Amino acid sequence: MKKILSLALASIMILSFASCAANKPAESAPLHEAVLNGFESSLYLDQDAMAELKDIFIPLSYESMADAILAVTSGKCDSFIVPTMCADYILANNPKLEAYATTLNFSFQMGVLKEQEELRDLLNSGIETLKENGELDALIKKYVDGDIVSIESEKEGIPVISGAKTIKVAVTGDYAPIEYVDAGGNFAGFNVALLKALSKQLNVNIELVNMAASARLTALSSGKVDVLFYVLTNPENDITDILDKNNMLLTSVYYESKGCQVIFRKGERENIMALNKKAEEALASVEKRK
Amino acid sequence: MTVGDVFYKTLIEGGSYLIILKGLWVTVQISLLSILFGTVLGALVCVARMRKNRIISGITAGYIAVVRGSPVLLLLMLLYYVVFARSDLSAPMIAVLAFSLNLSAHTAECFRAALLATDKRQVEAARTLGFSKWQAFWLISLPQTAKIAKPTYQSALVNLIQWTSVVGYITISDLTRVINNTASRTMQPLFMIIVGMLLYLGLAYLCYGSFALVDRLSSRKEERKKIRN
Repeated sequence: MKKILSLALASIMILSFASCAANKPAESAPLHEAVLNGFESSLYLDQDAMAELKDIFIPLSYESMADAILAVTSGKCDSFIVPTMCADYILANNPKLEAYATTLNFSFQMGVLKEQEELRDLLNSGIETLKENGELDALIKKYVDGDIVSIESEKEGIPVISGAKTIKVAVTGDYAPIEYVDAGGNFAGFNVALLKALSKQLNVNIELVNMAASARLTALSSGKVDVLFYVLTNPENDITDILDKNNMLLTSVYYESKGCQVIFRKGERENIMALNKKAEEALASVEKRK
Repeated sequence: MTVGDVFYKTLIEGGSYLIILKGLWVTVQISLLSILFGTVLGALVCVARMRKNRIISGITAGYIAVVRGSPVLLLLMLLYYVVFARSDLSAPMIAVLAFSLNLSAHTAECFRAALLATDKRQVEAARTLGFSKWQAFWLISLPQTAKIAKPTYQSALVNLIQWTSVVGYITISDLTRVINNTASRTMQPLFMIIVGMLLYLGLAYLCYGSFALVDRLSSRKEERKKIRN
């Protein structure tokens, strides 16, 4: 018995060495692409396209942007895509990384449960009014598209309106500058500013609930929170199926990114650009076939 | 960016160390309460498990198997998002409950193994010498059990402290959550992971250290007794 076991182990080792050697040629080595946990990435990455590009990108799932950065700086992973303002924030704070602009665009929407159409309409009406009176643009300019490295955090928090009903909003604090927790431990960033304006506009109380990103969907479906502050979508993707499956509704878009950037380690620009170009070509040929 | 810059930016600037200490305090509170309730519950479960009544010992054996065999994170999420989803119990309370349940199963088995390892004949001898059942347990079995159970119990506690790092899933800002938030804000995840590890290591050694201290104090007490005699 012992002999058989050791033989089996030895053959496994030999096989794995052989397969390592076969994977070596650097020319066609696929990129390990970090995607932020499953459900969210399926909304902003086109699943058919990802399947088509499986020889070029190998998706690896990560919990948060910080984890993805860790994976990229340590070499576990080669690149990941973030909206431009996040890329600016990352590059300003981490000098080991570089970015390359793509043509993708992400939209930011809030998510609520399917049964809560009223809540969605309420939030939508708030967002519309803020859009019309220019308040939303001012907030975006101040917190997202402006000089995001030296933004002042919203120290005030959201004032409590007595007697009004309360909406609980899930925030992660892991998506700077859209949402983060400042050095004093307060929620800060665009989310607080926008929710503050919405609270005033709609005359409701808003309670922020900080939780790990991957627990957000569970929290929403169990009723522990009413709203997910950000759900990333790609306007070109048809996501009705995925939303249906997850029993979710989205509000109207409150922010649209000014393009997206691929983040990678310094000094790997050529490799990354070549592979991204290859990916684009592959996708274009698929389009043609259609 | 030098290490000094990173250190300043992540830990000092804007009083960020204060919030990390606050997270540490949350972790310590949840751990201490869970250790307290978990140990008491564990002792009770152990007693029930040792009963001759088949039904009671069977039920407790089942309880131990289920709780010990399932990941504490899933137990935590089950309690928070399903069982107590509509109740007003706060998240930290539910965390304490989940970790107490988990620890109780581990300590119950640890106590039982230690009890079984003590020499039964000593208790019998004590009983024939006229000790009551309670006296025999308190004076003969318990001191030996405690000695045997200590290493396993100790590592169960340290495991528990480390396991509390998942409470971020149920909206609690504990040490791990605060470390992650700081990493996301400063975009220096590697450095923050090291800081977090050192803090958890500190907690673990605080736990080991307190056991060693108790050991030393009790051995000193015994020595004094000997001298007096």
